[in-house]
Order: sequence, then C-alpha cells, then structure tokens
Amino acid sequence: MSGLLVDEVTAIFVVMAVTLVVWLGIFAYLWGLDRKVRRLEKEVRRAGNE
Amino acid sequence: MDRVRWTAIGKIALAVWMAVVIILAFLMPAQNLGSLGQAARVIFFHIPSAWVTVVAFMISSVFSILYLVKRRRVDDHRAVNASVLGVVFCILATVTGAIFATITWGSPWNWDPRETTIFFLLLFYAAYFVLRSAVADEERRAVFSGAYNVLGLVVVPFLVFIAPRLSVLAGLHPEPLINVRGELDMDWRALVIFLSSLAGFTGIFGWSYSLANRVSRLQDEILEQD
Repeated sequence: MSGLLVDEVTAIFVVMAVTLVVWLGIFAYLWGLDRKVRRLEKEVRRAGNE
Repeated sequence: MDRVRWTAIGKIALAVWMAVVIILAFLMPAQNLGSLGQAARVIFFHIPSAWVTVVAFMISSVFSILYLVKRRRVDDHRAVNASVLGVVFCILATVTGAIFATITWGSPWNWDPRETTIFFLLLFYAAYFVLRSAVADEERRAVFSGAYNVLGLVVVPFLVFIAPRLSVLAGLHPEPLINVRGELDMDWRALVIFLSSLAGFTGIFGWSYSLANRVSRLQDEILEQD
C-alpha cells in the first residue's frame, strides 16, 4: 500500500503538514470563540450594572 | 500585566507547543518507535485523546456528585460540559485508533476488547444525553442525569483500564503503555514527545472546558436579566 503515489518520506511530510493545519484551524476556532465570549461577558456585565 | 494578557500568552504558547509536538511527532525517526514503524506515531495523538476522555468523564462525575449534594445549577453545567468534551475526545480516540487499525491489521474495526470497551463507553454517554433530552424540567433533568453520571466513576475506569487487561480477553491491541510487568516501555525521545503531547491535549481540554463553562454562565446571566 505504501509508495503508491508518493514515497514514504514525502508522505510523512504531507501527513505532518495536514496535522499542523488541522491543529492551527482548531486553535483559530477556539481563539475566535474566546474573543466572542469575552465581548459578550463585557456586554452582559455592563447591562447588569445599569 | 493583567490576567487576560497572561491567559492570552498562555493560549499562544499552547498553539506553539502543540505545533512543535506535531512536527517532532512526525520527524522523529521511526525506528525508535518500536516494531510498528511509522504507524506508531499515532500514539502521540491517540493516547492523549483517550487520556483526556477519562479526565473529562471523571470531572463530569465529580460535578454530578457536587450537584446532587449542593443543588447548584452551575455544577450541573460543569458536569454536562465535561461530558460533552469527554465524548468529543472519545470520538477522537476511537477514530485515531481505527486509522491505526486499518494500517496495522487491515480493517478499522475488529471488536477486540479495547475497541469494544470504547464503544460501550460511547454508548454509556450517549444514554446520558438521551436521558437529558428526555426530561423537560430543568431541575429534574439535572438530578436524573446527575445520578446516572455518578455511575461513570465506576464504569469509566472499568471500561478503560480494567476490562481490556483481563487476561481472559486476548486482543489485537498493542500492549498498553504500562505493560504486564508494570513498566513503561518507550524510547526516551518518544517519551518526551508523548508527555508533551499529553500536556498539550490537557491544555486544549482545559481551555475548551473553561470556554464552555463561561458560555453556560453567560446563558444563565442573560436569562436572569430578562
């Protein structure tokens, strides 16, 4: 099964790159979520103080 | 520097940490990973996922007990959120395991003891969520699902640590990390990357869990303000 399209060395780099992209995507998602939550918390706190 | 700054730095550090772990996990020479070759790299992701699953479910059971004792809504939120994350990481562990199984034994699912027990684990929590969705009243939902979830304290360790090791059930799954002699059998380079991945996954769980709880709290606060 190995070496069907690319050699083993290239394959490992491809998998590594894909994994890296997946992780950075997950991180970006979590970061964006964190930002939204922070903004909402500020708003709710402000509304609570009025 | 205030607390928000520090946690922001921590999160960026986590991003870099996991990126380095991923790079090293794939660049590390495969011969030091034992007889399984390249496929063995999965341990850097598969086992930390399973580990976080157990941690999440244990945290969930603890908060269920806390809820049943103190009856604070926030503890119910913490229990559910931990269960959700537990299921997410359980699915990750199952899928990475299936990928490994396809490479090593030719098929993604073989009903060997480890695969079967993780399947039961998923069923156990699927039932938890079905139970929650079946009860309309918020307090009764929390009480019933809390009581059910306490069982997790026994079920999870049994399914994850005990059942697959019962000698009566021989399996395909490679020897667990702590082998029959009670020792850890791993090349030191692999061990460093593995432990680093474990720490990173725990950090990812911690951040996700804190986010989930903050959202639950926001929901409560907004409902209160109406």
